[in-house]
Parts: sequence; structure tokens; C-alpha cells
Amino acid sequence: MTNALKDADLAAGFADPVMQAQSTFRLILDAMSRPGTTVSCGAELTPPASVHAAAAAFLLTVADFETPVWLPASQADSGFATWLKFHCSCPIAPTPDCAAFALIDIADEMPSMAAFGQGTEEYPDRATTLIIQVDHLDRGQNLALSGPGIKDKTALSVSGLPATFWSDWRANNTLFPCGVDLMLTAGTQLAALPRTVKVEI
Amino acid sequence: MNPQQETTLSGYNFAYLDEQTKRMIRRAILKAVAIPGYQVPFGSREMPLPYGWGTGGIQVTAAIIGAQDILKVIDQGADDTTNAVSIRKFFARTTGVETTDKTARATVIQTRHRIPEKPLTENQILVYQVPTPEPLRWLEPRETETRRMHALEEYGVMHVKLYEDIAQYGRISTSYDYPVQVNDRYIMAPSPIPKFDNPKMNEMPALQLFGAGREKRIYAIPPYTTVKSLDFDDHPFEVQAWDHSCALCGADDSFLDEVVVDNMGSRMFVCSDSDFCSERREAGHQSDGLPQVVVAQAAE
Repeated sequence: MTNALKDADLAAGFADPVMQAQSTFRLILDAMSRPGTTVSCGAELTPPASVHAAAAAFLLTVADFETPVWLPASQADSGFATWLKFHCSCPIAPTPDCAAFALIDIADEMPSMAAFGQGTEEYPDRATTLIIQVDHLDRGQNLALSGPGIKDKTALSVSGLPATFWSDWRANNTLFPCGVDLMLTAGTQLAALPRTVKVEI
Repeated sequence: MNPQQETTLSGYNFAYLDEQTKRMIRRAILKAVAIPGYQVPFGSREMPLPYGWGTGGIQVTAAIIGAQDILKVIDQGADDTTNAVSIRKFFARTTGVETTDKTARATVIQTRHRIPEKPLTENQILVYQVPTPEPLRWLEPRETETRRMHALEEYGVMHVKLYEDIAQYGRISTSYDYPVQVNDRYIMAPSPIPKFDNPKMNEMPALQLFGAGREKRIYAIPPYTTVKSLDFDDHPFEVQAWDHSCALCGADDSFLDEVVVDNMGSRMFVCSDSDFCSERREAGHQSDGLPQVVVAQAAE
């Protein structure tokens, strides 16, 4: 345990946990209720390497001892896992389907969306929220989004997602009210795609 | 520094709730937004006022409010009624945020049983206090069954209820808490707002959050989401109309409260939305022949 702590060099969390968690949550809520909107959060954080500031800010805001977080194999023993356990006291989910949140980097091999918690028809809220680290949220593939929260249509550009990603997403759409929700992050940028959002490429 | 901050309570966390409770509520709110109209269970806490006084709305507001917010609280449309005054004071003392009566200035509006007359914008969040979040509860008392009915989209019983109204009274008699269908999926209780307000929920630019403290449920309608009041092709949904206009500002397009003004049973009709009414009066509107009172017919 002491070794892990030393290795992590334990970067700081929020300097003012109460007010920063609140302001970050409002940004996330804005992104979630207006899909396609990109918000900027976590600029003051310096999370361990390979984890985006926005992803770290998201987890600091919503994760705690009640929410198992799934990490890819490359992060399982990393400084980030130690950082997360220290700041959020969250358990690391042994399998994707029992996770409340999952952090995925597109550089890693991504399990299919169907491998994560989908919720049940009676409790669709018990689905995993995936935090997916992409290359950019301001350029790349142009997407047209529609659904609740969007007036007519809106545009979002994402780069770095695998080709199969959007067919997975359409399959996820058909599961409504079940299905996963997505948080896409690139550095300090964050955009949300709730399960209701239809994406045209 | 906001001058109000000097008067905030010490010894309490910002916005009263502890951080873990706020995180739990925030997670529920995010899932509620992702599944429009679905009631997310949450660990409602005991608040320093009884259930039925807006504990659900207060917990939602406490989880979202920040130091930069400007809060408005209304009870049946009015800023100056007991429930609204207490809740506004509660947040002024536990957060030090600025409060306002002006609908246009507020960033967070907590409401009991009304939607403001002035259209809301994208920069506002409307938080409803909800007594009974389950629209099917009066038809099916078992939670296990109503949950199953929502899962299967088995809503025939609600249409039967509305049909029975028509068979009995010739029209749908439900006038408040009128059931709506959100995004063509979940049937949702809009809280006991008059059905006059139902059309305002449809495609509203503001985010709408609903908190039920005793029943421990949070649900939401994202901005620009279809909200349809249930009806039949031959009995389309319609809202209340009045033969009177507001006795103070003369408005003929707002929701009117009937106020008894003397022992003879005389009544006057005034806007339920007190800010809407006072803004109109400030702008020079007034009723023809102030005050417009309907005098009771003296008994023969």
C-alpha cells in the first residue's frame, strides 16, 4: 500500500472540494441536459498521466464509496487507480457490468458497450456511465445529434473513435430505457451523450 | 463579497447537505436527465422541515445551487407565501446566495405547484416540489406493479381513468397534476400544477427537475423535450379559461386565483403569479375600473 502511494505521488484533488464539485457538477449537468454542448472543467487538476483533466474532474464530482469504477487493464495498477481510491474512496469494479462508472481510453481496447451495466427495464438508472477519452472534441468526424435536450439538431466533432463505435451506439439506442450513457472527454473538454441521443454521421 | 454572506449560518456545510448526500443526489439527477420522465429512486434525507413542505425540491436545489446562482422560490405562483418565504430564507442562510422575486433574473427557480407566466430561458433551471411522483399511484397502489407498468409501457389504465371522466362528466375533470407523456415514453406526474401550465412544459428551453422527498424520487425533463398532455382525438386536451381578467393588472392570459374579499361572498380574481402581475402594473397595465370585484347576489 505504501509503495503504491509513493508511486502515485498523489496529485491533489479539488482545492476547494465543496465549491469546485458544485461548479463542475453544474457544467456536467449542462452538458448532460444539452447534448452536443462542450464544457470545460478540471483545468486546475493535474491527474496522473494518461487521464484527462475533465475525466478526473467528473469522477471527483460524482464517484464515492457507493460507486464501483471500472478501469481498463492498463490503468488497473496505475497511479490513477491509487489516486482515485484515495480521493473518491471508490471500489474498483472487478467486471464492467457491475460498474457505476467506467473510464475508457480509446488508445486501449474498448469492451463493447453491451458489456457494461445496462440497467433493467424496471430500474434503467442502474446503468453504467462510460467516460471515454477521445483525441479531440473540436475537430474530426462531424456528427449531427438529435433527441431530448436538443432543439432540432446540433453538431459535435469527435476524433479518435473506432469505426464500430457508432453502430454500437445505435444498438445502445434501441435498448431504451436501458443502455449506457457517455461522457466524452478531451483534455479539459467534456461532452455528454445520454442514451436518448441519436447520432448521424 | 456578497453582503448576505455575513449572515450565513456557521457550522453547516454550504447548502446544508453533506457532500456525500449531494453526490448521491447529483448522480440521481444525471440519470433522471438521461431517462426523461423516469423516476430515479434516491436516498432522501431528513430535512429541517417536515415532508410535504418541499423537502424533495429543497434537496434537489441544494445539490445544484452554487454561490453564483440567483434563487427565486414560489409557492402557488407567489413569492411571499409561507412556504416560499421559509425556503428562500433557508437557502439565503445556508448558502448566502442572492435571492430575487424577478423571474427573469433568477438562475434557479424552486416552485410549488406553478410554472411562472414569463417564458423561461436556457440559462434557468426549474425545480418542482412533488408530493406524489407516481402518476399511476391512485389507480394502482403497489409500487412493484406501477414500476412494472412503466417498464412495459402499460398505460391503458390511465386512459381508462380519463375515459371514465368523460363518460361520467362529459369532459376530462382532472384540472391539476394532469398526466403527461414525456418524449413519447414515460407517463409522468407534472406535480400539482394546474393543467393551465402543462403546455409550458413542452419544448421548454429550461431544464426541469422534480424532487419528491417523502416518496424518495427524482425525475427530470431535459430542455427542448416533447411533453404531451394525455387526451383523446375527440376530447383534445384543453386548459382552464376565465370569464374575468386580473382585478389588479387586467391580464386576461394568466392563471387567476379567486379571492374572497368580504363576508358577503364577494370575490375578486387576481394573477396567481405575483411577479408577473406586479411587473405588468409597473409597466402601467391596470384593470378597467379597479378593483374588479364580483359582488355576490344578496340572498332574497
